Amino acid sequence: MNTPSSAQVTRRGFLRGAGALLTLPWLESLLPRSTRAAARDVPRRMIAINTDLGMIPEYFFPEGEGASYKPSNYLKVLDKQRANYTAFNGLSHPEVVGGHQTDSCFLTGAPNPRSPGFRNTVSLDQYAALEMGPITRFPALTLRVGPGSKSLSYSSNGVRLPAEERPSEVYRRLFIQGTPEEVQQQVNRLRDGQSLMDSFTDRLNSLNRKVGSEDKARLDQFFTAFRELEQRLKENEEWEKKPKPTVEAKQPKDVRSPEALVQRTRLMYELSRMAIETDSSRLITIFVTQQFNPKVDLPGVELPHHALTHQMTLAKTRAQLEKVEKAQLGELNRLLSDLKGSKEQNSNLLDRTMVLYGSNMGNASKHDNQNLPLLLAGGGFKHRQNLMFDRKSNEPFANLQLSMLHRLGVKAPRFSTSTRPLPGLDLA
Amino acid sequence: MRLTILITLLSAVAASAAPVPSGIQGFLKEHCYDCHDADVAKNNLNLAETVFDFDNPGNAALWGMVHDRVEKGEMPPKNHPSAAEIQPFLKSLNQHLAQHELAMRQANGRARIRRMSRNEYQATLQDLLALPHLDIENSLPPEGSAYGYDKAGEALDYSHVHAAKLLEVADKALRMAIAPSATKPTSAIKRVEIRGKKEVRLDPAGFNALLRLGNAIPLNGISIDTTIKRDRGNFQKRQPGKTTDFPPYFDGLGIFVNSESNLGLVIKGLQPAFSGYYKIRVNGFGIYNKKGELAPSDRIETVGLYSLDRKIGKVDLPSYKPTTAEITAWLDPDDVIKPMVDSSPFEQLRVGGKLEERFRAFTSQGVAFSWFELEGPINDSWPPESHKRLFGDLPVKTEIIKANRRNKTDQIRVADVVSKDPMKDARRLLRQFMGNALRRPVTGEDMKIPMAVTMAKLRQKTSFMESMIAGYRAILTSPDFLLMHSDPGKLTDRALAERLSYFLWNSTPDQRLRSLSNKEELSNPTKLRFEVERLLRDERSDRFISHFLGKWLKLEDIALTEPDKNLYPDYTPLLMTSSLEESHAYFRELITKNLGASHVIDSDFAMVNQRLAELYKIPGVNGSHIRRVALKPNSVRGGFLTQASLLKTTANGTVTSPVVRGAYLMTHILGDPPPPPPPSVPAVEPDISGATTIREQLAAHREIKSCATCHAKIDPPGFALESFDVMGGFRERYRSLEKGTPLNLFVDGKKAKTMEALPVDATGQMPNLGNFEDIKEFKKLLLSQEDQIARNLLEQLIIYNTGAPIGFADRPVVDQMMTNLKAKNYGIRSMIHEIVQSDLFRNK
Repeated sequence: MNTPSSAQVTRRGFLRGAGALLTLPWLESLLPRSTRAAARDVPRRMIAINTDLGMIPEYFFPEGEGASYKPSNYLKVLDKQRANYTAFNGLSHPEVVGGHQTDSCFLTGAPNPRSPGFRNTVSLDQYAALEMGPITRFPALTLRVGPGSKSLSYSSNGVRLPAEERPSEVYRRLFIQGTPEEVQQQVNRLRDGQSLMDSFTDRLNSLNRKVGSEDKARLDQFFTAFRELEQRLKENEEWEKKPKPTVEAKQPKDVRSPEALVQRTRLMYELSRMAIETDSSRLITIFVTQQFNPKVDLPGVELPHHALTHQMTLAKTRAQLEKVEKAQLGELNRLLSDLKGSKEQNSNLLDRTMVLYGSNMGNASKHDNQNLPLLLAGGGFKHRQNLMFDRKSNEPFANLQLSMLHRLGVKAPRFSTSTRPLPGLDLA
Repeated sequence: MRLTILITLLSAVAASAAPVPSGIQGFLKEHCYDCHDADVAKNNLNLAETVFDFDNPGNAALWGMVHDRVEKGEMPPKNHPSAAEIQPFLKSLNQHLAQHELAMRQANGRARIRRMSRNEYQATLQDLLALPHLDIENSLPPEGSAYGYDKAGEALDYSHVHAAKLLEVADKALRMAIAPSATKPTSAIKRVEIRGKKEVRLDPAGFNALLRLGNAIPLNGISIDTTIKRDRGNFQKRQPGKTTDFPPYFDGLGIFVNSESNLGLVIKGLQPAFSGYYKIRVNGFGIYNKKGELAPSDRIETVGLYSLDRKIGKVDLPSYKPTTAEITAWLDPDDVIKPMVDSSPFEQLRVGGKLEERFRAFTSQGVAFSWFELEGPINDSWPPESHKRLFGDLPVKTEIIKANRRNKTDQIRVADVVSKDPMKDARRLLRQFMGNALRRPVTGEDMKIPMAVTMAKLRQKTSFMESMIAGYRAILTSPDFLLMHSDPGKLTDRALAERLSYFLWNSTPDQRLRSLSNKEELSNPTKLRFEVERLLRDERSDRFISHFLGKWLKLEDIALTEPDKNLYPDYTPLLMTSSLEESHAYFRELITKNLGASHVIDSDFAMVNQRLAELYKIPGVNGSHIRRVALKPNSVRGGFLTQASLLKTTANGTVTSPVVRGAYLMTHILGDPPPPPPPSVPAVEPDISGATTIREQLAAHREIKSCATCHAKIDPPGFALESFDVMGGFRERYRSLEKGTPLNLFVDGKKAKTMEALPVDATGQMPNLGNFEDIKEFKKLLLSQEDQIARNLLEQLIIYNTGAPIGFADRPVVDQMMTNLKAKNYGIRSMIHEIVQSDLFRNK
């Protein structure tokens, strides 16, 4: 007899019976991630900034709630952007305590960074990058203003990703096109890497057969790493063959002086804007760190930045710290205005780019990690408000991060320690 | 992916969860459920509904904690059960936990498989490639920590970031190993003299800007040259400044600053042309500027020589006696030489006024420089040893290639290696290198990947050298090289050699260790003992000392904060580097002389240099090298406990906290870490206005009942250490910026606002040990706890070298080791031998 096998019948029946409701998401998940995200029309983006020495709480947090709040001393710096941001009061990551060391959890929310067995988790930008796929040359850009080895971005197994600190290098990676020979050399290097990762995977298989179950779990990390690197190198190879965008601005010179916090911040913000304008990346993190020691080169500022934060109770030194923090907010103001002024289709870049600004320190003088000073600008939300939460028992910061993920088009049910999307933050 | 995790979790629960055995349950019901059942669940602990599920590490740790808190008598807090009740309970719980551990070890061993840490990777490549100066650690992602160290699989994650960075770093290291040219570069001497010239713009060796900005004193011999005219120019009108000298011309420069980042002074004309060892000579002498008068002093000044991002070395110059000092250091072509006065307290000179007047404003030590010399590169043979490790004796030729980088059309000369039979040479060289790299005999299987990589390159007509680099890179990034793997049970000789050398050298076994293990002779206890002695004598064991102390005593965190310049103008970076050298030299002395664990707390000697001796108020110590000096019986120094390194690490830049130091001492010295504070209590932050002391603030904190129990244990050691400030100096009063008696100190040449305010109260009461009046008495009390201190050090060393925590099953082994060691006064070297010979060390 020539009847279809039962398997075929079942499969057809399933397709027909389940209908669009079930099959569409299932089919979509089979598509490469890039296709999924590229299918969306409006590009959604994020810049997340953490300044590691905090802000004087009394100067940052505004009085009053909702739309009728009174801008604080610091928020007056952003007065022109008032319609374009929301300030938050009463947000923090639950159980993320440990003074300065909590900077590593700003975008991950992993609890107790000081505990002996601490292991970090994936950061907001990297999680989004995985979900959104390689739709831009740089799925995510990890940047830092200031010296050191820290960054805000952590891979899916909690490994810190290196941040680029030199503006000239950021510019080179974004905009400088290599010669054909250089491109070919680079492509060869990437191919060498791919084939090496492939052979290592085989090699690991033979080792894996010899070890106990606990060790197998450790080796799993190696399998994943080899596969992920191979995949990334493949993606890089594709991008390497495409020409880079050109911009009018020249390659910037790096500012070496340890005191030039403000100049360095401005350069990095400008490069971030250019990366967004050229759609080179849609996810950017910037860690602004002074590594404790240098003072900031501003008139009237005499003491090192970190020392100032511990002397904010003294009037004289508080005035110096205020100058530094206002200058930092001035640079944020400039970034927001520039994004607002940059048109894209019938909109502007600010309305399509969420700019998260704040600190992992609620009160740097006391090394306190509660009630973080935070604001979110742009991204197409209903802004012009101050959202108040319980200052004694804080709302998880991850709730805001979950709302941001949703805005990026990532339909995650949860992120880190989130309990719900942040109430009061609605789309415009 | 997520589904797999879920299934693993479910099966784990299903396989191992079991109800609490009735004997144990009886005790819990009687003594624990009052507070720890579903109704009360104090501290979120509900023992009534907690099962035995030791496959889940959190569950095993929880039951371990229950055991230990009952054993220490901390729980139950009231109505203590009788020993007759406690002993069977503890024994039974202990047995269950130990049995589970032993069963696990049957299948998996005590420690997890692990890769090399980035620190070990650097040391391994240094030794393999004969590149002792190789500096790649910071190019790799920072490591995690498990059980306090980066020596366990659990701490050493691996991700695509690691894989990518390793490719980069291995490539860089290999290229550094290759001879830069076919022929030996000729050694040359370059000298830069500091001399004024007749009425022209001066630019002696880049000192011009220094002179113009007034950060240096021009000298004629040993006195100030007063014939210099300075014109600062006009920035608005774009007129550059200039400095003009009139006869007699100056022949030296006095410098008073220690911060290379603030001055960026580079000696022009001393750039090395090739990579290699160079001799750097500095001619000059120490000076003492007393408000514009130069005078001799009894000190020796220390000059630090820096490149862009690293310190190259240091030289000492005595006061007023022109001296030529010399160091030998590795330099690369992009290195520069920047001298700084490390022994000066000033980061820069912030005094205004005319050139000749500004030096009347301050008093400080400095250094007069006359000339600098660079000689090299120094090569005994050519090509260098590092090159031979990769290419043996194959001839080297010089290849000229045209650079294709934009804006640079110059031709670049590089060396290439000539091979008449590339296939055969490649196989031979790769096999030989692998034999050194893999820490075990090489199999045909091992050769497949590197051979395939090199052959593919050769087929693409890539040069022999480049093809070989690709093959070597495939070895240095492969799982076989990175992973340290052994089967459960007794370690093979090969694995034993690996564990031993990564313990004492942080690096790969040398030829001798490998040949002993190939002959299966290393496991012989006498031979093993001999090897431990040999490895400890080798200078590679410095890596063990600094890495272990960095983790055990957290000395790696010493530079996390810098003392506030206004409170501590007398702090210098030289003090920090000297204090680390002190701790390293002290631990070395304990090993060499086999001194006991009581030396963690106190000793009748100290390892100091001039800068430390100044801080410790020990007279008659000159120069920057560390030496052993006897301490007076009433000295507050001696032992790790009161070393500047440890005191600085436990302070922040501004203030000290008895809580932080107390918790540190309990955790790292006594091995009894206090529980973390409840999250709702705000931290106590010291007040630097001089109005209240930290003790007064803490007293209020201790009135809160939930805080009192723990703080009665944590605070007292911290109180005793309040006698030491943030840089490790002894103090009787706290420093302040607002109140008190002014101290006559200068900050960057300006009078500092530092004052001395409220007195320090360093008295306290140690629970069960008694009262102390000061640090001396406190040390005496602690010395009565020698067993506990020794046990902690022993356990820390075991965790460090085996990469596994001390489990319940390990406790009897450690008990036996303690008994053996007590007879040897817990000597540190005896301790190392005892560990290496033990089952813990010799099993996976």
